[in-house]
Amino acid sequence: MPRPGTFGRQLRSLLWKASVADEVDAELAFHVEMRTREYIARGLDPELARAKAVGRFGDLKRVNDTCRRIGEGRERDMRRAEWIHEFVQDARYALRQLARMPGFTAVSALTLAIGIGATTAIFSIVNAVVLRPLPFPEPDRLVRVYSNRRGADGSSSAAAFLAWRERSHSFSQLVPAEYRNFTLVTGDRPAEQVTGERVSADFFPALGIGMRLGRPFSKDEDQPGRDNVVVLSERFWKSRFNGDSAIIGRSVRLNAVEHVVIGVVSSKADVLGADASVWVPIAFTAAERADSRKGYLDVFARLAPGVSVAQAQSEMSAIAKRLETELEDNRANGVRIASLMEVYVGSYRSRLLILLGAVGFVLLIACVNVANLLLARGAARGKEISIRAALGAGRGRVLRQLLSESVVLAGIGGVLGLIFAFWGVRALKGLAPNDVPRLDEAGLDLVTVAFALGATALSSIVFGIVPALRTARPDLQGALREGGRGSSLVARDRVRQLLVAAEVALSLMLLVGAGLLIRSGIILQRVEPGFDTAHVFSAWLALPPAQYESLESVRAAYDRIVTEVRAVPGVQSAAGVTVIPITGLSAQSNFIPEGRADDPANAISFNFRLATPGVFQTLRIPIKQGRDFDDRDVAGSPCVIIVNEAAAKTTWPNENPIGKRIPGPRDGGGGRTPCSVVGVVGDAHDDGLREAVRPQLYFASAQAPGALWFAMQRSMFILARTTGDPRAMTKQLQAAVARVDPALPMFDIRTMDERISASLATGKFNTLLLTALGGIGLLLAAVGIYGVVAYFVTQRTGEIGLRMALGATPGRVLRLVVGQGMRPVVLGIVVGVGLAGAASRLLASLVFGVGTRDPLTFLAVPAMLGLVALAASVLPARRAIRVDPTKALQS
Amino acid sequence: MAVAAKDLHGTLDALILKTLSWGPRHGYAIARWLEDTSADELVIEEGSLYPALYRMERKGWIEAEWGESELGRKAKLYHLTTVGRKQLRAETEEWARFAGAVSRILLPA
Repeated sequence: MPRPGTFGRQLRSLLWKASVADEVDAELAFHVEMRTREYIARGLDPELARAKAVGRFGDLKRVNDTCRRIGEGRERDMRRAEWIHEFVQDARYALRQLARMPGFTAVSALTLAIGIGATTAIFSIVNAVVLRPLPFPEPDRLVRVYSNRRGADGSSSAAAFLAWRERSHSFSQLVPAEYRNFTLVTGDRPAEQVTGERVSADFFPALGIGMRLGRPFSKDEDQPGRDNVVVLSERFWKSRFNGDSAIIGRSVRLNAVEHVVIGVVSSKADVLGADASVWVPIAFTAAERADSRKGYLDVFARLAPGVSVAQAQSEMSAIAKRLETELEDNRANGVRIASLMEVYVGSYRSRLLILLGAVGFVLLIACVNVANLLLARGAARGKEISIRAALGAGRGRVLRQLLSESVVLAGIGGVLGLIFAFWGVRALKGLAPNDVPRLDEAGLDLVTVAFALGATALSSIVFGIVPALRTARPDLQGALREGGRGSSLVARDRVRQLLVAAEVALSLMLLVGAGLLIRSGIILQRVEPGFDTAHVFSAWLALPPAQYESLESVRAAYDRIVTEVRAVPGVQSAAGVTVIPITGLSAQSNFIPEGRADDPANAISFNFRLATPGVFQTLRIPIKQGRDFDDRDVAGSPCVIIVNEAAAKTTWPNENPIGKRIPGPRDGGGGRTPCSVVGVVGDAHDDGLREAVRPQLYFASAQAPGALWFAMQRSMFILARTTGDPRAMTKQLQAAVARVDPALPMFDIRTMDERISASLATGKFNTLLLTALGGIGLLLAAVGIYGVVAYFVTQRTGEIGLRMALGATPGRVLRLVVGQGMRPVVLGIVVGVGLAGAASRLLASLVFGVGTRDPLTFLAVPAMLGLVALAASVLPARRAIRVDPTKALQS
Repeated sequence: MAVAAKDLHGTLDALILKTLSWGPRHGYAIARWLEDTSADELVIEEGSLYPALYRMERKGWIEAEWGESELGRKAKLYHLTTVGRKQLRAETEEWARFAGAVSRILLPA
């Protein structure tokens, strides 16, 4: 029972719409009047009395304002309380109603939960990987600066970097990083290979990466001779040194040189993708500073305040052009600046956003299904609504109450959806390929939960509004009459049919997307890698420069290693090569074939590598012409090279490549050694199966000069073709290497089969996800179609009975009912095909070997969808045939 | 000796509540009652009284209705709510404790 005050206020607000301001004025005026009379009674002059009375208030206007403010605040409080009270009432009523129809509630809630759960799970990942800014201060000001040669981004030389730093005004900081391998020895533990980075002293401060422990390098330490210090990565510090806080001041040997640990850098540094375990000062030597030819620097920069990427780009392009003539070799020409965020997540953005769009479709389909269910329920509740309306409930009130049912239903779906999302995110993290950055940070954080709430609220409006509007407008007379058949029923049917058409269209779009990806996946699987991937063991070795200073020692070491590996029982063939297929880590350089003018236009870009004899035999790459390297090709004998078919076609089209010469690496005397082609081999994919094979060039490892070995960091892959399972032979192969140098560990031990699988993993994951989403969409659409047809049968029982009584055969009845069900499906398929045709362009970057308008997919998917829809219509239609005409006519 | 409202040590609320415990009154009547009962020791500043009334109304300690007044025109009459009564009890006890403590120090027997 409402409190007297409230009732009075409500009544008053109905009868006398006085504002708070008016009331305050009246109240204060009354007081002043009474006071004035009091003073007059005491004998004061009326004007004086009034003045005194007003004066007692101090600043009357201010008092008035204060009271008015408080009064209006109170009004707001009361309105809010009322609103909440009504909402709670509605919600309780809605819960009761929903409890009364458990089947409907369960199906709807589950449908919504699937939609909201899937969408939230995908969003959580999109947020973690793509949407969140990088964990650095002002991350949008950070950029990468690439040396760009003929459209390809590459690393930079020290001379170029120093020139940029000196001349450019676009950056507040410009810092270099160089990838370096180290052999780490601590205490008496065996040596291990670690990846590291050489960075300048201002590297960490420039990017805003803090230290977990200790301090970063000082400028003093960033000089040759004083640079025997090292900073550990947080991850490495935890895994290798157990997070020992006494690590500062300890010594470790890196590449046989003592370094003192001065700090541990926070895990933010891992974001830069280097995976580095140790960081040392870059300490440019004088030789490095002058070197404009070799360059392995990754350059990062922070834009100066107010400078845009475009402005920095134009300044740097101009600087690069001047450097072209000032510095030797064209290494310095061309500069490209890219925002760090773009570099880091760029390729994932489009993929993940497509997924988010796809899952949004699923949510939409789920909403449409629930809307359909609500419409069906609404029709059944026509009587109840009419009674309420007859009793005086305004349309607005009824509408609000129906909407709160939608909100409560969505709420239940949302809570369940969050639970689904929790498990979904875990599953996705487990199944996803390894290279997705920041994926491990995905989870149900605040932003994701907020998104789920938003999706729930939006869904409740999407699926609730149309049924609520329809249900709240019952045909009073028609519904109260027995049988309840008014014109509104037909209209409701049409809406439901349109909804089904929409579901079918959305589902079709999802399935077309999935179909295109599945076809791409199948075609990709069939791409010939160019070599035999089975039974090939591969591992990576890097010789520490301290032990293997001279060229002879490097050559001899690898020679012996390959010999030892070949001698292991079970090994059919073995070889060493600096670049292996599929890994995508090839070195590139430009060479001008002999006989052509020394003009950059004649330079051809080759992926080059050093190889021992036996590579082609081990990988089973066919030798199309000429021969493999052999014992003839050693230091001092004429330089020989082997090219692949792509190189031969590009460089010497329609000519025999054997015997043709290319000036190879510099021979230290200023000139270039001419190398003759002695063999042409088949194309083997360097960069995964999607990319076309580039021109490849093999140098004999026994002939390659020191400069090339230095560029390769004295490293090579060792390959071995085994008779049995290559993994099982790991120990023997490690032992073989150990016989040459016991301190040399193997790195990245995998079989070639595993490397191929890994390269296909991302594509498979995309396909899996999209197919799963398509499947869910299809299932939901089928359920929706079934529901509509089943409902139709129930509603038209009388009409069906009549027709059968008049002689219609079961066949005709079946056709009538199924026809009803399929009509919106056909519409949906037509619309869906049109939309899919337009939208599939978005998948262009993901498909392989098929066009985005692939006819096979665009025929197969609608056909499949049509069949499923047919089945979903036929099932309830069979109930129609079993209608007993007499009973139907009586109802 | 008249004591201005601002010297009332924040007990204006309690005084208003106590006044209303004797029955509904409008703002002027509350002021007059306090003046009369305290033999004009307490002079209520209207500038503090009305904001206090509005504040307490918002907090739900008192409620108001517009009713007939002595002048024949409508006046806003305040009365105590259940919550207000509880608040009055609490503030009275609080005041007694405070006054008792101060008295023990300032007025030793």
